Amino acid sequence: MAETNARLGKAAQALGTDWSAPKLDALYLGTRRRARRRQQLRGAAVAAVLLAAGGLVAVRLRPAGEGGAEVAMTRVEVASDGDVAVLHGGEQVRTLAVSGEETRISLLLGQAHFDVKPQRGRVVHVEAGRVVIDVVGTAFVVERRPGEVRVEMEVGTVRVHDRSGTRVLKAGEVGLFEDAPEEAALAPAPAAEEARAPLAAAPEPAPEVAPVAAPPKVLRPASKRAPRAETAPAWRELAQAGAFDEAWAALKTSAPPRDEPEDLLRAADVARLSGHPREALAPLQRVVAGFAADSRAPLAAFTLGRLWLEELGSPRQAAEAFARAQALAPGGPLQADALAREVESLSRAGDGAAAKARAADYLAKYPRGARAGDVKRWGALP
Amino acid sequence: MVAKVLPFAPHPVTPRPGDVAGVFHAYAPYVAAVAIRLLGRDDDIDDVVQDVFVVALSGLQALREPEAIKGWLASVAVRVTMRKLRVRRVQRALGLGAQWDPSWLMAPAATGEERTMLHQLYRLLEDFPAPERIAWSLRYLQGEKLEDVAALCGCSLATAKRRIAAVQAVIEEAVDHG
Repeated sequence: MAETNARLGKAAQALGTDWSAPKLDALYLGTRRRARRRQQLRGAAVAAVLLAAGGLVAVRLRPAGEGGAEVAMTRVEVASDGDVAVLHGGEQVRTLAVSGEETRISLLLGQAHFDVKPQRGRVVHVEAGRVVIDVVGTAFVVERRPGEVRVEMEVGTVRVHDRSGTRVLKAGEVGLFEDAPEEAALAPAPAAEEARAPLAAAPEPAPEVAPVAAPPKVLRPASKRAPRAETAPAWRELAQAGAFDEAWAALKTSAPPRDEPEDLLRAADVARLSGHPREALAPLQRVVAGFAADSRAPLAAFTLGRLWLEELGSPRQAAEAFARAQALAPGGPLQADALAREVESLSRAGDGAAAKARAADYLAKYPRGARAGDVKRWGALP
Repeated sequence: MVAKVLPFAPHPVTPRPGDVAGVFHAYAPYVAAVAIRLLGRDDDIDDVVQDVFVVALSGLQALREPEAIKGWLASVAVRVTMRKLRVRRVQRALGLGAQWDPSWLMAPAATGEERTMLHQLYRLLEDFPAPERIAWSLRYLQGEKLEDVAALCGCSLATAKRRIAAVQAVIEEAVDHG
């Protein structure tokens, strides 16, 4: 019997999930919605009990934050060694990584006050949707609103990146930045010193991103078929509201995305963030192959690299995609990150020689780059 | 100008109890695995995991040490699955619910032989009250020590042993008679 129990126990080890990071994001947001609904139901139940008791009790329900009790702001402290402490409102903030070179934090929703101690050579990145705030030691408030992010500076200076560029904010200044998840527009000529480079002629031919056999029909661009009429609820609106699971369900019964970069990237986001990474490949590949001159093509190639590497376990194809991202925008702001990820992909693909060579390229171009430590490790450099 | 895109973080971080989002991302797969083993189904695991975390959220804030998070989540998962199994048993007694069905457990990572064993097992477990079933599953499917089974089930060590033995006897009978 002991042997039978052991075999059952071993079989049970196969029971589990293989959830990706985007799937976990979607589940987490679903959990928060469920918790809020439960709270609202409890509140309604209490009110119903009070009324049933026959008392003339007037209960004025006010949304949180409007008069009445103050809603405490989420507060985040980052120590000088990069360690993150969330003092209040932990469900709104997620720490993505802490390493010797950087700390990365994501503000999922609402607003938060960040108090970042001087980092002594490290960098703290705060992500709010597609807006990224680079910090070395300052205090500021970040608020996510539909379609935009508000950054209010208390002390020090930060550098904020959004789809329209990079801007420096100083103490006392307030900035509003575009955060449009359905649009991943890129533009040439970055402002960052690291990314500045002379205008290049036609980029060197780069390896094509490996095609995927038989992408699902639902996400193939509708270039040769008469488009079907859209029916409500439109998947684009659901995606904009962050309801990616619902958007995916709607997309499957809707007309395919339009054959243009914005809609293709939006469809790819829906597929990725609803836990269907393989279905995101086709629209991204279409942007890279069909709209190479578009400013969004490098980002599409970069996202393809991330999918291959993190979701689909194909580091070789990831390396090709990251190389393509660099080739599509030489000197662009994605250059450093794409090169670092290329090194990582080559290392994970077992191509030590290529990883070492590209790692040397990275260190030559970006000796103090944010990923220098990681790149040295992946490239097996001293 | 280019929107800066950061890659997925390669360095996992041990979350503090107050870092609710971090705790969810770090432990949701663990909670899912526990729930699947106790319930014998993975077709509605998204819902079950969300139910566990909705219950766990308030208690999470009261924890002081990161080391306590996993045990806390396991205890909430046991409470939530116990409730679901009891409800299912009552529904079946009233003719309102279905018996355990193989389509409820896809187990994509299991071999064919393992899946067959598990299907046979969960058919047997279906006939047990929830406390007995969960105690045995925690012991032999989740691999918990007897003391931890008792703690998670909220019963004495003697009671945990008795519950496990009751299920074990039936499984031995089924194995002996093919």
